[in-house]
Amino acid sequence: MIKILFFAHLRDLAGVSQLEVPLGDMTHVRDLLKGLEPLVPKPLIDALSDQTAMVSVDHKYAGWDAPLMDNVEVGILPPVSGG
Amino acid sequence: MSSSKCTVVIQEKDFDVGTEYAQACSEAPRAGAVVFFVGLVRDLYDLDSNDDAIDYLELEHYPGMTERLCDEIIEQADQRFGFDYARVIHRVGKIYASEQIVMVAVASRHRDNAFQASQFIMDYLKTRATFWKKEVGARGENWLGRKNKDLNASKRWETSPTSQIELSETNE
Repeated sequence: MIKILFFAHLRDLAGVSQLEVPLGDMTHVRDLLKGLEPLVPKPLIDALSDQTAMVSVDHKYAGWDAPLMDNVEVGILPPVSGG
Repeated sequence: MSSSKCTVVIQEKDFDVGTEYAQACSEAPRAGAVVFFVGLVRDLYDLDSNDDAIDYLELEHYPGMTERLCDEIIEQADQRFGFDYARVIHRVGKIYASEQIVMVAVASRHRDNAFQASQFIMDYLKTRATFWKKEVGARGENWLGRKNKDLNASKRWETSPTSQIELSETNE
């Protein structure tokens, strides 16, 4: 299973803070977009489709092109605004 | 990372700069310079120049990833500038206008190292560390995004390969 965490306004759009989806035939992080489609509201998919959100895999920044393994934690991260 | 030389604390409660200064002096007895940066919550919306007041910020972060990134940022600052002591405190949760939100303290033998290291740490904290701010006030709620001026501020350190910190390339 892939654990997916949403933050800030993307969590608001998702309506949940985390989801688990089976790896299935997904091979790259970008494949999650399709995997998420039936599970989350469309505005979230729309917000993610331009890929300006950053993603992390197991607490490390990763690109949407990064390979996806089973049992990882993926963070869906809007542009940060700390400090 | 050694617990006394470099520390990162993410907490809801406020911090006391006097106590932190005493700690910096005690942990870095050979330092000749101690630099503090303390960030405060501005009382106006960041969106534009209208004078709508905010009541508070709601700060959230990605537990685990944030600490890892902050450790990395401080480590990079040490490799690049060298210092005797560095400590970052970043608050999360509800923080009201004019309250303290973030602190970076750096102690070093000479002032240049402490000045530059603290600026480097702040610049990278703002553009890399996984914190998110939501403004709440007269206009309702508004999540803030990363600002171009913060990105530009962090880019000034990218002339040297030692300043490279992992970041996925994304469009703003």
